[in-house]
Parts: sequence; structure tokens; C-alpha cells
Amino acid sequence: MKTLLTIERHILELIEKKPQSLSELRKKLDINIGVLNEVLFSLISMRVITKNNSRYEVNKQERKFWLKNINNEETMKAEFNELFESLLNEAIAKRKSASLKLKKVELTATELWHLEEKYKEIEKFIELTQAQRKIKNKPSEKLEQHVLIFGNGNYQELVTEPIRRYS
Amino acid sequence: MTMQENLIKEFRDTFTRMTLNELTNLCDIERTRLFRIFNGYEMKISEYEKIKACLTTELGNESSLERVASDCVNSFKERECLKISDQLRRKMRWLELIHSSRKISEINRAA
Repeated sequence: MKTLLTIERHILELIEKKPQSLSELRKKLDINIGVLNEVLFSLISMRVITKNNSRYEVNKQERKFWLKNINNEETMKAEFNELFESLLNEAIAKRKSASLKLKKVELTATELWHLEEKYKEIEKFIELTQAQRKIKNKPSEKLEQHVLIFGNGNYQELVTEPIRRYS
Repeated sequence: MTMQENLIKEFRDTFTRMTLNELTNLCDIERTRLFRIFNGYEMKISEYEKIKACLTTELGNESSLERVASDCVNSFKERECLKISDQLRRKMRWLELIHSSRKISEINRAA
């Protein structure tokens, strides 16, 4: 089975929330109709979605099968790489909608602990926002989906990871 | 067209003015054998490599991607090769997506 491209994953996520017609998808996505049609065709041919009464919906009957295929480690890594590459390109092009920071810093164990606490704060903020979204009505401001990537790694281990991988 | 047919076509198109004897010397493949290959006989890998090498020397056209890909196949483990080919395939799928959508737009415009 083919792996999902990021655009295919995005459209699948929209359809998974609720079945969508072509015009509803067009309203939500700022992409060429031809590309949208191609993505839908691709998702149908992968048996991930079906078309029912001019609405696209998730193929629930075969869910177990396709979910296993699209959520395995290698396909997730490929999608993450693609998203990260796009974020990097957008950030380098200095688009308003994207920012990316990469810092190399020396930290003590305590400082690293503090840093990881900050990540937890961010995660809490995200969880809280999502929970509120479920309870309250939609906010008056326009909602846009964003991708956040954060984390850190030991520099020495990161730069030697390819050596371990290729040995 | 098979890889062999492609290669022979390119080879004959490149060395149009050379005689069979000259080509035999150039590729280091026996005259009768080369004649048969030109007429559709299946070639050995060693013969394919010899002809390919002649073309590469003449045209200097082995793209860096082809060279790197060939190095990867010879150097990396199967698993790593699979990852690289998957990455390239994904890039091709993006391109196919854009091209197919353009075709649809053109058909719609023409209709």
C-alpha cells in the first residue's frame, strides 16, 4: 500500500471529523480543484475513504486494515520528514505563517529538567485549548490549524546517530 | 521498451557512423554476438555494462542522481535503500499529483 502524503493525511483528517462534500472541502482548503480531486481519488483507490451520496466519508468497514498501513512507524517518519521539510522551507523563506528555531546550548541536568518542564507547560496549554474548544462554541476569531514541533536531543548523540545507523 | 532496447537504441543513435567492426572493437564484444544483440538477442549483464560504459564515456551523460543511486544500491543495506527509494517515490507522487491535476484543468478548459 502507498503511504500517505501530508496533503492526503490532512484531507483524511477533515473527512474523519465528518463526511464532506467536494464543495465543503474546497471551502476549507486553499488548493487547486484538480489537486483536491486527485487526492480524493488516491484515498478512494487506497480504500481509505468512500463516496456516498456525493459525500466523502471514511471507509469504516476496512478501517483496521488501512489504519495499520498508514500509521506504521516508517510511514509516520516519512510524513514527519515531509512536514518538517515544508516547515523548514517556509521558515527559511520567512513566511509569516512559519517559524522555526534551532539552538545549540550547553545545559546542566537541572537546566535540562527546567527545559523539559517548559515543554510540559506547552503540552498542557495545547490540551487545555483543545478541551475548551470541545466545550465552548467556536471562538469569534478565525481558527487555523498549526503544526508545532519541539524537543531536544544530545548534540553528540545526534551527530553520531548516522554512524550507528550505517555501521 | 525494455532497458536493453533503450540502451541499444541510444547506442545506435550515438554511434551511427561506426561500422559493426569498429563497434566490436569499441565495446569489446564479439562481432557475431553484437550483431545478434542488435537484432534483439537478450544480452548478458556484462555486455550491458560494457555497452553502457561506452555510452557513458562517449556522452559523459551519467547524471549525478544515477551515479549516486547506483552507489547507494551497492553500498547500503537493503533496508536503507528501501527508505531512500520511498523518499524519492513520495517526491514523484507530489509531482504526479500536480501534473494530473493540470491535465484535468486543461481538459475542463477545452470542454
